[in-house]
Amino acid sequence: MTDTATPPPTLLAGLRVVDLTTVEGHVCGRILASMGADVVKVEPPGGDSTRGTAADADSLGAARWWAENLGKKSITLNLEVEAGRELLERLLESADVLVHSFTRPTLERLGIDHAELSLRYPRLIQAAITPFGLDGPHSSFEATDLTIQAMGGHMYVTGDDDRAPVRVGVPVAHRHGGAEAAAAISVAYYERQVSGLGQVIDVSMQECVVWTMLNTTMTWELTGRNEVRGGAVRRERSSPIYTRLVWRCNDGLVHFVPVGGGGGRSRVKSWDRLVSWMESEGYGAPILRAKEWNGEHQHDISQEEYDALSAQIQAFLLTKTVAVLYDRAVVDGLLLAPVATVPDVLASRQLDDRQFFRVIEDPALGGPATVPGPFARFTRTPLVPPTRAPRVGEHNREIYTDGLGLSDDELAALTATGVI
Amino acid sequence: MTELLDPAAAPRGGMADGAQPFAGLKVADFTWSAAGPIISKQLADLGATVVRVESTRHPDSVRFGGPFLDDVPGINRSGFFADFNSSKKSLALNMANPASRDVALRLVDWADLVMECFTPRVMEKWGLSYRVLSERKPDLVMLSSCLQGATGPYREYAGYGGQGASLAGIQYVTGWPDREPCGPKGAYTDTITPRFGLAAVAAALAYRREYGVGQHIDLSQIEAALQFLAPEVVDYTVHGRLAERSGNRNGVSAPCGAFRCAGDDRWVAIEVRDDDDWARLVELMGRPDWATDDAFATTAGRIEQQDAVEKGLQDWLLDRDAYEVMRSAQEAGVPAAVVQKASDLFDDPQLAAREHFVPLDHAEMGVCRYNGPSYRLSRTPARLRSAAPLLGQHTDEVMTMLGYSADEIRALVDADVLV
Repeated sequence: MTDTATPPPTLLAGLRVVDLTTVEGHVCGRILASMGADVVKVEPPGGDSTRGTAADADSLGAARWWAENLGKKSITLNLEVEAGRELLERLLESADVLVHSFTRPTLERLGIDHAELSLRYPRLIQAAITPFGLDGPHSSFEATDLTIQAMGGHMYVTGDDDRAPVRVGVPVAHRHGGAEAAAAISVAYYERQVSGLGQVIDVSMQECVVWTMLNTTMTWELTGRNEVRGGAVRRERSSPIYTRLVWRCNDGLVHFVPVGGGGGRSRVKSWDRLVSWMESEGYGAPILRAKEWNGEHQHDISQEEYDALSAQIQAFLLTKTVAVLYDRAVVDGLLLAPVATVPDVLASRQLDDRQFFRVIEDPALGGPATVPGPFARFTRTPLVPPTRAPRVGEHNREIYTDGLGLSDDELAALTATGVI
Repeated sequence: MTELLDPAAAPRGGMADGAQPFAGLKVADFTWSAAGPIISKQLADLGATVVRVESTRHPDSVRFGGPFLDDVPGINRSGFFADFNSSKKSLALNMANPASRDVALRLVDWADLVMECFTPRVMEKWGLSYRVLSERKPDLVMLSSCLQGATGPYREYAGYGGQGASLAGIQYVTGWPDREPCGPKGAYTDTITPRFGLAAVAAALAYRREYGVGQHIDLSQIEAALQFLAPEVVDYTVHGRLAERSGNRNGVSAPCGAFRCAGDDRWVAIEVRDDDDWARLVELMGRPDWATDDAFATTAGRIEQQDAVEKGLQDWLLDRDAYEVMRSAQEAGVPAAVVQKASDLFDDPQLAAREHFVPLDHAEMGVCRYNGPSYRLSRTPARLRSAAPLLGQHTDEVMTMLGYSADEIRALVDADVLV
């Protein structure tokens, strides 16, 4: 970091990150770059295979590579050869952070040894993002996002109970792992200010997934029951009864937990407002006020009662549009939300007002792309607006020549021999 | 700075020799529910002194949320609350009583970091907005994290992370194409926000320490969650392809799914990444006739005939033990994993080797196993120091620390402030 007394405009200005991650860990460097770090993505000569080839450049995989590498620099480097590893060492001399997503066997093959690097570069923060962690009986398991979601337990509790468990529909194990690593690196960086020392961060994507269940492990621990999966209708929070999560309305679907969500003042308020609204429009069936559904009696509701109650709610919701329900939810504190698609999200008034989405022109992509904006708003150090993902080796000259001081001849020779 | 670490609390293989990263950091924690407390829990587990502000007059809703010990509801019996509040202190402070403000301000004066996750009007109403607090304390770092952010027409929208998952587009893509979207389990954006929140807070605190400058962080939980949909947003805006539910299929590899095995609701997830994986799986199955069909030899072919491939694999798996399938498939190099239940996680040898679950002794709930972090810091590991607090367990201790006398404390209890 710089020693200047003038506060820089970004949180991590000057922090140099060498990013060896493959697709599993790309999100980490993306987040660090948004906080102002100088993130150099290292790709094999020819580029990451997950960039997508010319033939499938319009695949979701290609969009994913691009979206998760915004704001980074790219250099090429063949880590499989000795000369490549020597160059990596030279990069690490001036780096603050090394992040990768290699499991132990790959690390050994590449000759990357955390303990050795810690001795040589005591200030270096080294982060590993792997499916199960660097060590332990499953650490060398073959894994994909799907199998990590399975091993972490979230998959078992997701899906309809008359079918197989289902994954969360985007590769969340990878994305949680990358984001968690960015958080842990920030913690290690804060700690290094005092100790002057880096350390090794070992992120387990499986553990990240375990954390996405919130109360499922405690349910087993305290009650000896395994939570079961449920779909639009489910047994929420280990409830003994099935409650409805997704409701039809006049023109679409809403997510709504009017009863059975666990109580608390906001649930009581949401319910009271819904009942008043229903009554004011002639939907005031006596059952609505037969019990304190979210208060005193919330743990004492039979399935029969719930089904009778939900039939009344469903009939009312069918008379309303998603937009009407959502606006009412904002005003009245109804715990209700539209089940949004990507275009719905892009059309959100709230996100538009906050100017959240950004448009990036990149001819390589085939058209202007909309990307999510900052993950948070900082009053003093705003996040860096996203810029397009780098071309393969786009920054070779800047990093190798200007940074490491290689001559043009050396650069040419390394390129010719397949090192760069 | 040289706090001695309990060696038993350090992860196996750790070389814990440093003070905890947040040792000395003081946090006034006005958060509630899940997203905020999960951030402050990590600060506390990493050494910060975190004072959780609560009240019996308006308890954290997750204190009402199950599971409860022995299924008996009680304000100090919720595992939902416990897991997110290890290592913290609890101050019972009735914020609805205007006389609470003096206590809150003294807590803020003491703190380096203030955290809250109400909709914006709440801190404003209490006279504790960043504008007010930063005038008293210019180098304050303050994190505000409500569902939709501190500005905009829907800033006052009240909601939990289940609604967040729905608004952020995650629910819609999760489930079966022929059914209503089931969505992920629970308050899903509460599981995404903490990762961004911890990064934001740690980096802002580092910046403050380096340059003496504080700031306000507005962390919209929807905007944090949308970071996880960046590829899908790009794909839609560039190519017009809408991300849809597809069960466990992902369009690029096949078979890719969860298959029933022997036993009670036992499943194994298998993803065949490429043709080599398929060849290994065919060998593992003993080269059955259906599987050696040339039509299945390529990914494109298997995707085209996904129903047939899945059926063949399902038939082979139906009477097999899921763990044995995982073991033999892994030995062959094929990604296979048991779809683990919560109870399985407590027996998972990998989680055990990482000492993921940490037993902690709670004043009312006794010993139960909490979730430790998803990262291991080799030199300064997290350490869950104590179980979740009873509501108000540390009121006297915190008030004394803030300089209140025993008489003043008693008077504030009688005045319905410290309740």
